[in-house]
Amino acid sequence: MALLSLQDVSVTYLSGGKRVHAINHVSLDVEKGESLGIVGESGSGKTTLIMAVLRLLPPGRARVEGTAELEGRDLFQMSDQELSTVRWEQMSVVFQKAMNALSPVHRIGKFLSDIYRLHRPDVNKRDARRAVEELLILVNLPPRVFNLYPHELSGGMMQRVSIAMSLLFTPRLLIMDEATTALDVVTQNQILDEIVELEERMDITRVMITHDISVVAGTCKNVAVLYAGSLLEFGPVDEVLVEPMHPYTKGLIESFPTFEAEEREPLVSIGGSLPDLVELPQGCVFAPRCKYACDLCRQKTPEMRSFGGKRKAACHFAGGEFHE
Amino acid sequence: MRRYIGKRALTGLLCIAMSLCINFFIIHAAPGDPIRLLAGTDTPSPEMVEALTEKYGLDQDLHIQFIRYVGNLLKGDMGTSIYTNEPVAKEIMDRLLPTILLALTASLTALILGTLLGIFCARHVGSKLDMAFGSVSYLFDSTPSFWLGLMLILVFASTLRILPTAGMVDLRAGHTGFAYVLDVAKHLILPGLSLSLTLIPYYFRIARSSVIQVMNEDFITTLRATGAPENFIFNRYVFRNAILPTVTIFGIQLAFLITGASIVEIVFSWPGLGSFMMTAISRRDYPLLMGIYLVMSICVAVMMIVVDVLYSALDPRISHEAQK
Amino acid sequence: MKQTLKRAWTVTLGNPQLKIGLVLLCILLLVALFAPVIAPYDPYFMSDELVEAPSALHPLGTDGLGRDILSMLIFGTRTSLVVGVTAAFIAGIIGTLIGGVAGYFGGKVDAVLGELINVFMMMPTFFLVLIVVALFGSGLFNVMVVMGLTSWVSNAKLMRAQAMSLRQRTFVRSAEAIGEGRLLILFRHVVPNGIFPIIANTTMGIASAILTESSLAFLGLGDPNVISWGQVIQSGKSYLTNGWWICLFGGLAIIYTVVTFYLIGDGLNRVLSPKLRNLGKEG
Repeated sequence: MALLSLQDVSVTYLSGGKRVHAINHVSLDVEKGESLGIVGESGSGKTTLIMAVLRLLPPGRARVEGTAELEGRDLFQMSDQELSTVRWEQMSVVFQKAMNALSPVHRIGKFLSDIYRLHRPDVNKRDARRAVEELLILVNLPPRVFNLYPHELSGGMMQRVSIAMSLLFTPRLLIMDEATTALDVVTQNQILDEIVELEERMDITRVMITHDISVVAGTCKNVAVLYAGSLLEFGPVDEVLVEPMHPYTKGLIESFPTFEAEEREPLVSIGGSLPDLVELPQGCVFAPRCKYACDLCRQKTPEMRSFGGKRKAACHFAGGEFHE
Repeated sequence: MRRYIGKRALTGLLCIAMSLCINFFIIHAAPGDPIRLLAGTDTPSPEMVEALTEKYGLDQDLHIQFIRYVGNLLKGDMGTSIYTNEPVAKEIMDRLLPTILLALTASLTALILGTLLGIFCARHVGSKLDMAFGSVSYLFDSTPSFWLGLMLILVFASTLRILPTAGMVDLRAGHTGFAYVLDVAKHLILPGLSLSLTLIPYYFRIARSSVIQVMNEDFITTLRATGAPENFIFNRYVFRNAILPTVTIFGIQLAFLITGASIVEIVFSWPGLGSFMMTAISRRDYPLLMGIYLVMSICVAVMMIVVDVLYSALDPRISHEAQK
Repeated sequence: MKQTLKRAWTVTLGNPQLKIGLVLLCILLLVALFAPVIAPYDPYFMSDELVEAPSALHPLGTDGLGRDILSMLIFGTRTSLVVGVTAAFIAGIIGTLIGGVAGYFGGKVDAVLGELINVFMMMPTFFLVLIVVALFGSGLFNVMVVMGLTSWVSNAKLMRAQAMSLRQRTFVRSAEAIGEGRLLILFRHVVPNGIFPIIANTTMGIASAILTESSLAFLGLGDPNVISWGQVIQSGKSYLTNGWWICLFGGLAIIYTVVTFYLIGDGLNRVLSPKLRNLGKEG
């Protein structure tokens, strides 16, 4: 059984009488131990997707459909009571802006031990403090951070605090939303390495959102490519990034600089911009920007097809020849 | 931290110095002879002219006059009231307490009611009650407090005849002890109400918008993701963060109310500084007028500094910034 | 230009505060403009009907001198608008200048002007206005100028913040690089681009100036030669029990006008600040 299984998930924002189709019929599985990277341009709906899974979208303004099963239990159908036991114990999250992830007027230790004692009401303050300090050490922070305020730490240190917080109860699923984007490259790599190591040690599976393909390449097993709220391609990182099946994936890879100097190819950006999510184009969502698009693409939405192993792609011509 | 407060104290001192200069300037720039202004009569006796000339150094250069003026003040001598012939300082001190009593009562009432209403509306944004309170707050914000006072007198005192309309105590009754306190409280209701009703919108809006703002902060999303119940989040984190702007506003507003209550004092013949000031104006009692203005300036400056100290104690970010 | 106007129009229609405020303002302006036509009586005319309750003859009654309240309130509109707009305008200009210079020039200039702003923030301005008007006479001109001179602080704070952020922007930098004079840049680039919050704040300033003026008039420190609402209320104070209409309607006129400008100011603030418009976030 998959750890996390999304079936036909759609999210619609209702704003001022308009319906914004932010996520459209996304289905994907995250197997235990197989970390997943979700990539896409900004505005592709990555954050919306995980906010839906975390049940953090405002109920009045966003409609969520489909199912999202964590170890067989549908998160979307859970009562608030059930949800509060799943949250943080089995599924935790690290957000992008670590600087704002903690209350600015409370000490870091107070914030973390508050959350700890929320789920472990029997633990006294001293033991909670010890548990939090151990975690701080685990993410390579000095324990004195416990008594500091968020503004007294650097961005990288705050990111470590956020990670320590997410590991409070050794969750099964760890979600990271652009968690290292704001950091400098050196710190980013350091933290990523540490996370990968902790994951193996603590048996945690990670789902990570990023627009940086190189991060996914270095730290994830599988990759999912999201565009305008639709899943376009899915598969093992080493296959998808080497031999993309969807023209969008191809474009995304080409628009990124490679580190190997010898095979440096000219960077190609994808022309055009994201479609209007209020009125999605007929046919393939990527067709208006796709240089291979033909009449079929503009009329019929391509189905997600399997191509052996874990590989899937939603393109009429995937696995065949592209004609410009 | 200490440097920050020191800096604010300097601003306060500058403000008082500025008031001194304005006072001095006004006396000398006002139409007419300063001696006549200070003597309070158009035909001062020769002895009077001599005494005043000597005291204020009116036959000397302007800068020497200024030094004399400041010197007198530093000795605690703010001059003598023309009308009562009492020292200005004593006259003012007698009236300061009733004014502070009125201002503090009205401010606290407005602070509590306005903040509670604001929090309520922030937690029910967009509801019918929220909109209703929002519209009513516009109305009360636009209502002159003196007019509101008159209307309250009309309803509660003239028509219903249940509350006293003038003064601070019933002098004829000659209450003592607890009866005296009760009598003062009864006299306090209407002037307090007309002031606080016009102040409630102020606190209402600040509380509402800062709660809404804090609820949208990232760390609230983090807390929700950890499975913390809404009440826990609100009581421990939203409130503490959202109350900060109110603290500042309260101090500043209270300071200004010590001067701003004057017009309501006049409506209700409240024996405070404000109504005293109007008497001073109508009697052209300039030494008294200047003294009141100076005391008011000092009150405001002191309050501002107190607020700053309090604020920097409540918000760890402030003292940090000052260290830089 | 035509397009800008069209956009302004749609934005206005989309904001309820602004829409209602502007409608109320139009009524107010029409009343002020056509006061002699609308008013049933000469506001200074003292009839024999003293403290007369509202009737067909005097829709809002008469005051202690037999003057028609409705006519006084209609002519009072002019006073309130002139005082409010002039005082707020003076405050707007002073605030923009001081704040703009402080924020754009920065350094020592800013240190001095910033401190000046802080000091003026602490000033009990209403008392200052009282004293000055009491000493220098309560002519309408004095009242307007003194109120303008004492209420510029909030504008200066806003403009200073605007100028500080605009100073970093490319178009200001490039103007500097071309070698345009600093004062020229201040007036040609910084002020026009940072003026919007000051416009909204000045509209609010009109509201508070009208309130202050009515307070002064109520205290008997208004211009005795013009009719103002505060004065009407003051004259009605002694007739509170047997002539409630004098105070009541005077106050309602003030509330109406102040609400109008608050609505417009608040609406402008919302329309002009993108932060308030969009609170939703997306990934």
